[in-house]
Amino acid sequence: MSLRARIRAGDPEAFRVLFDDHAQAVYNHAYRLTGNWSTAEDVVSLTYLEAWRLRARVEVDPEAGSLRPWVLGVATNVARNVRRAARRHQAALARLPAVDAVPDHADEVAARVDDRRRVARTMAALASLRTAEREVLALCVWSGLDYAEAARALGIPIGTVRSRLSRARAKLAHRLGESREPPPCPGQVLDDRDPAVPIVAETAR
Amino acid sequence: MSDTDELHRLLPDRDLPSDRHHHLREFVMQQIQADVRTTPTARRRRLAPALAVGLAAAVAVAVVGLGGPGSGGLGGPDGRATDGRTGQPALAPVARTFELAAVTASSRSYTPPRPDQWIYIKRRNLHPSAIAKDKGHAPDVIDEIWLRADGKKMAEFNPFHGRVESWDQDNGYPDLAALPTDPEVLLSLLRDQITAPPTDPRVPADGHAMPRPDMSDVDVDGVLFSRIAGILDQNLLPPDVTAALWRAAALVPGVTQATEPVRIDGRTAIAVGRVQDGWRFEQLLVDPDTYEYIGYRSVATKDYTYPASDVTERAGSVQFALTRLATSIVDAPGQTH
Repeated sequence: MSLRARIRAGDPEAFRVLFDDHAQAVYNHAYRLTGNWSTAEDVVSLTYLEAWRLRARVEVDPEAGSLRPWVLGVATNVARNVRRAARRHQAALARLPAVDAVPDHADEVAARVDDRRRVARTMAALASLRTAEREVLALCVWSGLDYAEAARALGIPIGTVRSRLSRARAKLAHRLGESREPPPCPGQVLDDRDPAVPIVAETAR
Repeated sequence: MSDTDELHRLLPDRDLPSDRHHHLREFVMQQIQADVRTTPTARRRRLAPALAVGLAAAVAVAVVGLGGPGSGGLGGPDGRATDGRTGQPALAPVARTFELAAVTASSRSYTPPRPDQWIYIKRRNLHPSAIAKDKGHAPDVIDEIWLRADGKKMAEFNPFHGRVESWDQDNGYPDLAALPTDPEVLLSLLRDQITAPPTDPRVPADGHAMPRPDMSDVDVDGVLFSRIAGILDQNLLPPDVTAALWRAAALVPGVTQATEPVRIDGRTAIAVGRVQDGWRFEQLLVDPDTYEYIGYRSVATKDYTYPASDVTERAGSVQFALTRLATSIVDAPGQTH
């Protein structure tokens, strides 16, 4: 059986493979959508619990290619409303703290101040976009999906992906251009005012 | 694509550290395997009533003693049935508390919901833990959820736009409402769901054999207690099922009662529960006078540092406290009574 067929049939071991193949991509995608690495870890767990729940929706068509667009699509929905996804898997998450500790390695990763400023500026610019624009940028620019894959991940027509992406690019370039200076305080970067991503709003610190 | 490369460079990928990858994956796999195990299969549905008949005779002895509060109903595997004639509570405080909570639960008025009705539950969620702080979770949230009684939908109040949203989701309510009303049968069933090797009818016979889950480092009694507490906390079930859940909780090895009453939300509560993973006392909270359910919380019994982190829960600190503010059965999501 193909991996797609095994996922669809609910073979737990196929989900282990799916996790190993795409968790890294989901983690980074989630960060670009939520602006917080701890939340991104939660999104990784929730994405795979959601993928398990929604497994019957996977197409078994052998032409369908990599499962990455599907997984990133699920992750996008989870990141859009982390609280709702968390509610769905509340019983599971109640046990998560025991296995889930979240040391923040941000300092090691963005060790250089310049790097950190650059990331902060980019995240601030991304956060200023509409959710839909941010999602399409994250998928096409950073996760490397093509128009068709992004369209499938988001459940929207290819034409919409194309137009939304070009609008989002222009806005992002503009925002990056007007914010050559780093934001006044690091907290601002995480201060996502989009009500659809409440955990991120709560996470500002 | 140089524009894309340029943007990509602004926000490079970061590695999910391998220990985190491993932790998260094993967490997800545990949940998936637990889901596979607890999905009722045709085989298990047939098994449960058979088990019930088999144990009924043995348990009947214990149930005879149930004359009133404190008088028993706790026939443990070691035959600790109380003496129904004298009515003397030959019960430890913890067993007595569970039994009184069961008696209270069983005497609640309850009209079974129609399949199109909704179970409404309003709770306060306190998350004062170090880990919640580290993860940036809201420390104090009041939530309202609705479970449709046919099990097919859920709804919640979304405070961010002030509307109630409903969506399709198996909420498990019909299965929970139909749980066995005999505590020992119930306990065996739940234990079986936790420990049994997965049998998934959705995987064709020629498909991959499911591996037997590795339960060697899992505290099954701990999972069992949490499962019972979770069911009690998140549902409004028929009185006989609720009573059976309280009595089943009393039978989980290791349950104990806090020596001091607990102050929560301006109330005093008796706390009965179990020390989990060697450091967290998970407690079901009941009113000391009426033995009504108040909530569910976890308090650290000693300092504990999460693996691969510098996050420490201090002894005496509370990890979570869920208190029930309201429950009812209503006709539509959004209604509260």
